[in-house]
Amino acid sequence: MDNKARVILRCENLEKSFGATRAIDGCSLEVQEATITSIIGPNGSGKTTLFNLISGFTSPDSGKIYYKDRDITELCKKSKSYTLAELGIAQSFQLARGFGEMTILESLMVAPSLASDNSLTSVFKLLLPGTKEVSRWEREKKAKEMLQELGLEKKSAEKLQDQDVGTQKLVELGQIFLLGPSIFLLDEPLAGVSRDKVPLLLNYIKGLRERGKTIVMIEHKMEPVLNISDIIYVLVNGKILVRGSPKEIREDQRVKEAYLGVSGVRTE
Amino acid sequence: MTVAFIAFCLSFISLFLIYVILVLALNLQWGQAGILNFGLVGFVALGAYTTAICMLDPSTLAHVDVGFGLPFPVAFVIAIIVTGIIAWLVSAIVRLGLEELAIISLAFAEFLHVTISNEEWLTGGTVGIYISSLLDEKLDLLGYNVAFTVILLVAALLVYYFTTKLNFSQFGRIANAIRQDEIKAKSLGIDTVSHRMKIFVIGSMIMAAAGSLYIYFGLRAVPELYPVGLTFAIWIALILGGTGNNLGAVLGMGIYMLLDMLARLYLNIPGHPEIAAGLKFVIIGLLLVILIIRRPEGILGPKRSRYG
Repeated sequence: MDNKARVILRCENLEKSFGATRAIDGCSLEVQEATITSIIGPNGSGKTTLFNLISGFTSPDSGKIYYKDRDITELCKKSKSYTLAELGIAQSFQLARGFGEMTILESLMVAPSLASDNSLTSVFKLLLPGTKEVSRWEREKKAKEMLQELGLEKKSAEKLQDQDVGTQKLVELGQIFLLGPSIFLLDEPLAGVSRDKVPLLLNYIKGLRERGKTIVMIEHKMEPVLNISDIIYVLVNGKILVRGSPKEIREDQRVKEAYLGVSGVRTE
Repeated sequence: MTVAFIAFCLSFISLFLIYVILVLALNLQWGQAGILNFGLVGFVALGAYTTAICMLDPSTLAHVDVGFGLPFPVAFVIAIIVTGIIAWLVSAIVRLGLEELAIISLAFAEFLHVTISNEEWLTGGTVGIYISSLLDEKLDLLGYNVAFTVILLVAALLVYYFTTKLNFSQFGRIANAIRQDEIKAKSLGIDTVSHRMKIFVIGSMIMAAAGSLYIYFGLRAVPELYPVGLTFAIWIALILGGTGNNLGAVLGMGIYMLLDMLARLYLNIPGHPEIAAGLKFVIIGLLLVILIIRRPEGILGPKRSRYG
């Protein structure tokens, strides 16, 4: 990995409390462009809260967040998460969220990665007979290609709400892949996904890194994390315990005690 | 069949077509985007009164002080634009929430009702505003009703075409996505609040258009034409026919109006005419309760997108 790679995302001394609970207690982290950074830690250590702070769904009590050297803390505080998604930071959710009444194909078409014209004038243009939505075919084509990559093409006409958790998760990842932000915040992308789809997803995530995208992910499945990550942060009780390469993390005694259990690496 | 009977039937159909426009606009707001608009009648009245004031001939002013003597097509466009701006203001007050918009829209309709009942210099108060129309002067009763039925049929078909196209477009798809999961929609970079405001404004403009056509058809604007009950009649029709389905909305409106007319004609308790009027609502309410239990999605299920 190039050591001079640009820092694309930087958090300084983030703090967030919910009542008496300090969910995030002075977290600082740096993410370099075109890398895979993983955040691991025991349940309740504040990983998802940290993600929500970065993506703007929760606002920090104090601390700063920089994206490409631009201070975006204020944007995050206003909870204008759609602005962050437009800027290029997008999040997938731990428990897949989605538009259940839509078919799988259509829910992939929602992602507004293609220039979608949502101005009022364009809406009134629909009034003119014969006006066709030019981008619909393109949208449908892209959605179908994504379904093919995820191996879901046979289910494209089925409703999302009728699917198992793993499929819903795949569709959610498909949406965020289609959105194509600069930074992907993936909250447990592998949880609930069937075993045979895991290599496919990991390959896709590695492919994103090759295309210059940055991935930050929370994941409990240790083997994949240790295999594909460039940098791993270990979060314990809202604090960064260790930062290091997979090799360093694997050998760190504190990590073993805090997270992996003293007996050694847990494999799933 | 007498001319009067045919004219009555045509005016019934005309009223139905006006209500069809309203129920389609409500289906855009509630069915597609999940916006609770409890002030529907306010936007209809706003369109109607703006049209009436624009058309009123300033040389024949009697009890009203304002009138511009504009031809109907100009007044129609002004009414739609004015309502659009006011709908935008109403929704801008409550940029944040759906529930707030429900309350604010209801309050807005009540506010407007009180205003048009009392501001005599502008609206003629309870007497209202009477306007004249070229069609009325040139055609006899039957011709007048035929002309209006045709105009309203064209208008209703246009609104049906437009709202269906809108619902099935990317714009409608995003509205549907916001209705289902706003947080998820936001995470995909959608400005959900502004998108919802646009739909609220478009729907309210369609409602104003219906109000404007209605005033040109009836030639008078009086407060009692715009009771709060009208809002809920349209809501009932939409829930009855199928929320999120334009065809269902039209069907529900037809059933509601038929029930309403049958009740008016045949529901009769000798010696107690006042009970019959109330009984109508009891029967409609009972039907609605049975429907909600047996078939909560309405007579026709939702059809919010071309993808099923």
